Amino acid sequence: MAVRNIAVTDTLEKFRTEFNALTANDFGDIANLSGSISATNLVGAMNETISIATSTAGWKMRDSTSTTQLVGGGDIATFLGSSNQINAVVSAPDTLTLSLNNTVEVTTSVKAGTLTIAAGSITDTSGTISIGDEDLTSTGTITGANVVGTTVKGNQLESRSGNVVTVPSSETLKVDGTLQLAASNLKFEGATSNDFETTLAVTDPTADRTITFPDLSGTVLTTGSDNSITESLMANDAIGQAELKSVVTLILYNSSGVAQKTLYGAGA
Amino acid sequence: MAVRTPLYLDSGNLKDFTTAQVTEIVNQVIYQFSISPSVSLSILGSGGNLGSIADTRLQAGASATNVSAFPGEGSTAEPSVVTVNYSKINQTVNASTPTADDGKAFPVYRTASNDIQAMSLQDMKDTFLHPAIDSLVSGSTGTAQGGTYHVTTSSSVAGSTNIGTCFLDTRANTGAYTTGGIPEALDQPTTITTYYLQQLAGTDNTYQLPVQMRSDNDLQEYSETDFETLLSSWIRQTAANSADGYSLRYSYTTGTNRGSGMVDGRLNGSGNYQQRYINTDDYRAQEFPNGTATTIATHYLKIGKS
Repeated sequence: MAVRNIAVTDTLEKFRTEFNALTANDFGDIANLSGSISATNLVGAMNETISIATSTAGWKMRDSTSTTQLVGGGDIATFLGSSNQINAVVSAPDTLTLSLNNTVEVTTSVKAGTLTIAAGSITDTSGTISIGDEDLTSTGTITGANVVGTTVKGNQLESRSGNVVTVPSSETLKVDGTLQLAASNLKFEGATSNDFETTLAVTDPTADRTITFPDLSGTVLTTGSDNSITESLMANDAIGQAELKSVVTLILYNSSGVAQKTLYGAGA
Repeated sequence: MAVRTPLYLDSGNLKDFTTAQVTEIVNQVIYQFSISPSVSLSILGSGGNLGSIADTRLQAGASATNVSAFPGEGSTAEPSVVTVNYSKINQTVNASTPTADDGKAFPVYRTASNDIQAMSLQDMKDTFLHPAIDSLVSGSTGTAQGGTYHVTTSSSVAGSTNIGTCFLDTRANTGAYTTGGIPEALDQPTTITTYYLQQLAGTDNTYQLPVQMRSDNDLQEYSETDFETLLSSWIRQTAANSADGYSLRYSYTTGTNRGSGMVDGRLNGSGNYQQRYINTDDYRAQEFPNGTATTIATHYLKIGKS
């Protein structure tokens, strides 16, 4: 069956005869359609025919173990996911979409290379788990024989045993923020590890207090520093009469009896 | 009256002056007066403002003559009194401008409450100046009266400077009157005693410099120059112009006698009647001074305060 073509120069008669031949010979008489076809036009008949054809065909499914399952014409292949594992979604036309749940649960463990995530553990046979430059955050407790990192964050630091957290002598514990201590628990062992320590204590504050150490080198004086205060420790014009014991005064008057200067001294 | 006890530095400690140390400063005040007295005396030829004192003596009566007989004693003139007034001493008072009391000009002392206060001018007067004036106007004539004057009968007296003759006690020279000299000059005196005005010298003494209050109210020992300038100016002011009874003045009438009394002695006779025969036409008679020397008056140079 050749393609029917009407040229520009063809006559109307040419067009009539070709059209009649097209409808009679190429498309066929609609009256001759099978009685099982309910469609009243050619496209509808074709669709209905395809529907019928596919409903009678079949296909097979095979898994990784080569287990095969036939899906016959008219059968329905059901794709089920697993709770907290895989989702299966069928959509038109003839589409099956598989995806993971937002929360994926496996029974035993998940592996990625040498990394294994199992119940209660993340291990890596290489001996190192790197989280790159990401933050490692826990609302619980991070416990380790050695916790190494540029930044280790947490709200509590506890010893693994012995109730002592040790910063090695070669290391420095640097606190850029605020180091808040409980009652009086800043102790210095000193160079000799023994039963004697020096405790830096504070009286329980009843308001915010600030004790400032000056930008100076030197030795802090205490109430036990008897006979230790030298002249150089006292600023000029720093000692008032109130600091003198049994203060006595010597007033210098002019000849009119007007006080010119009062000298204060410690009494006997 | 408030006599104060000044303070002085003793190896860096403040101490009260002792009474002897205060006296030493009074003596220094006197010395300062002696080297520059604000009340001084000088000798003038006459017209001195201290007034006049009189020296009297007898002179012979005028001689009488007669051509036939000697004039009788009753008709011969009696000796008479010659009076010479001496007004040779002149008193000069020099005003002074002392250092004003700015409240810290004078030495400091310890108050009853053991504070320290600068002396007032009244304290200075009571402690130093008035005792010095009291000493200066006493009747003594030692160094404690330096700068003041006294009268002596000797021209040279240790510890004094002869200012000049201030008075002569003269008397009729009875030996000068002779019968052969009738008619003798009436007044033929002789000087019995010469009186000299002498100024007493003072003596510089060592003393303890007191402490003063500086302008910044610190305490400091006076420098010797500053302290002596202070004493000098105020004793000069006090002696010259005290308004409270301590001006120093000289007088013949008021005050304390200073030195020898200047005696006006005079013969007390009624006349020594003498006759001289020249020739039969010239008989002379004259009464010469005679008698015993008696004191008519004794004048004193007096010093006092007012």
